[in-house]
Amino acid sequence: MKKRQFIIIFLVLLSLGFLLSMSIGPIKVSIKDIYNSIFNFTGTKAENAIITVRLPRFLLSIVVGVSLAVAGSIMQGLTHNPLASPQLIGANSGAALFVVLSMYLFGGNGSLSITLVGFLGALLGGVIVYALCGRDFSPIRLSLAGFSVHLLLSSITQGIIIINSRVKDNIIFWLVGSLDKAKLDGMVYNYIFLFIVIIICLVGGKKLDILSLGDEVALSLGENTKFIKIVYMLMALLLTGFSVSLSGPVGFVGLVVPNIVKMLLGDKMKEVIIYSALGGALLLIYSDIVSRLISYPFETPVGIATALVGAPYFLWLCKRGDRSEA
Amino acid sequence: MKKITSVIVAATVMAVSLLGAGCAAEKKVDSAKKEEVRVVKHAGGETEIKGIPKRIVVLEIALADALAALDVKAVGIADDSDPKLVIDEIKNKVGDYTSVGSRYEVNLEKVSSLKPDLILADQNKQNAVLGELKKIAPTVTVDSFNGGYKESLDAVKIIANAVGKSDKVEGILKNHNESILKYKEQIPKDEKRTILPAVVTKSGFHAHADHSYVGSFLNELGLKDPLKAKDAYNKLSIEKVAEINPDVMYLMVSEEDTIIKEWKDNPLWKGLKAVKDNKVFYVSRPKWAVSRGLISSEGIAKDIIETLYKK
Repeated sequence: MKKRQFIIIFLVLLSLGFLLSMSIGPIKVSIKDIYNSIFNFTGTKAENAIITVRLPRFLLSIVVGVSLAVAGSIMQGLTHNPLASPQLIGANSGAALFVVLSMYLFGGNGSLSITLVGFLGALLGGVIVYALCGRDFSPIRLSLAGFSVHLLLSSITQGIIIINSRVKDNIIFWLVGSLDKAKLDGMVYNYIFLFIVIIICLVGGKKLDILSLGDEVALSLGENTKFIKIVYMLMALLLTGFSVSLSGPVGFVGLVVPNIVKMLLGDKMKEVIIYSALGGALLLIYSDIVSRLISYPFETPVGIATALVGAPYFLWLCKRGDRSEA
Repeated sequence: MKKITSVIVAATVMAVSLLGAGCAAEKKVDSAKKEEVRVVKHAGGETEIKGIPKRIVVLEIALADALAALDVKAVGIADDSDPKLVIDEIKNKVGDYTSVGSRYEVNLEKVSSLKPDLILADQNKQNAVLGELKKIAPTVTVDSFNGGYKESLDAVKIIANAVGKSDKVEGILKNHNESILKYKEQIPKDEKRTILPAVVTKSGFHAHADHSYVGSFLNELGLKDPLKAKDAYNKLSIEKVAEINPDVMYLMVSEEDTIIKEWKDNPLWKGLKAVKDNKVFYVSRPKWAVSRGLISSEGIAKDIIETLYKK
């Protein structure tokens, strides 16, 4: 597939996703309401629903989708392993554990501090898996180490929830990944943060390609491989912690999107990062739409919709991986 | 040595049984009642219960309300380790009890350590452990969590049979119906306003549908719950609340920090009829949503009259 085709399809799907995302919900909304809410706001019920509920959700789903997809593409690039993703590297569950723990201990809601807490948790999960793997990021080793750590961290999270029944009620919905707390206030900071991190990642995109030639070649080309690896891993974990603090641990996005992008457009890292960001945004936008329809007019967590798409793909990927190794 | 011991044991047993026989001869009527075997029909089938249970463990707070209405004490209640969930009116009747943990994850060891002779459970909530419970003591179940107001009255009858108070239950229900009727008479016949009850927590707005306990009780009083849904309890988005746009809202709370803090500045919330008319009332979640019985429903009716019909 050509890149131009990809961009055109992306723009078409993005516009369609925007229209669907604005129109689907309990309050009936016309195209005119959508237009008015943005350009000619008069304060009707429909316009308020768009501005205060649906638009923030749409914008947040883009932030979460982009963060997870970019994090996944970097993790896969660093480990040369198509299974690497925020979920499998223990980052999702680590971030979730820390966020739940901080809610339990402090009941806190401050957005910046929660992002930091999420990042530290993602870091913890990532470091444990990294330590367990040593230098060997083969699919089997990473899957086993990552999944064990994921289970361990999740079980601690569940332990906290079971001990404290008051926390339980507040967190279960969030733990599957949910966008229903989206607010327009502060949204612009999310975008600024995301933009900066992605620029940093793109600046060194070439270095990731050199790394993919193998450590020895990279070293002989004069690259400080350790430094590059650490910086990129930190960026990926930062993005994961950021997205978890916003919406809870949404699964499968970081796994599925970079793999599809690589299949369609090749594996130059800079491009994989850019197109994964676009694909991640689309996946979350449409997952959010599906999640609203599953038990309409009541809410279903968006993580259920991404799992519906992601889990079959993951199995297919495992099966395909088997064949290529045999 | 062993022989001597067994002789002593045999002698003791005989002595005790003779003594018992003597007592029985004296209080024939009482013992006849004790030996009586009742077959109790309930949500989980039929259970035989001998005599009058004295050590009752209750695994759903709504069933503690029924016990309290029958003026029977409980030795254990699953109160989620939060004594505030059991309202004072019930606490005063059931007496000092031991908490047996969460209603969702009953502490079986604690239940069995209380040596109950009757367990009252919710057919759905404790479905997974019913087999274990039956091994500890005869277990009578009621579908309370999903049931409406009518089902809660039926539950009182079932529990009355289980605790041997079937002769008293009709009188108790008659008194209850009379006091509900008194409240009902204070509500105008042409009341058209829609009333949405919802539990609000930090995580969300959980509205109770028209067939839920509170919804069906409102209906009994001649009031209307506008939410129609398959499930009794439904998490609503602010948009859905705005679409329903109820005239009155009763928000059942057990903590101060709720989602309303986030919603109250939203124009959709400010535009609600109930908010504009100042008809949003905060009420006790233990009383309105948790207890679901005779005692608490009289409390709910009183709250409604005081908030909507008294100046």
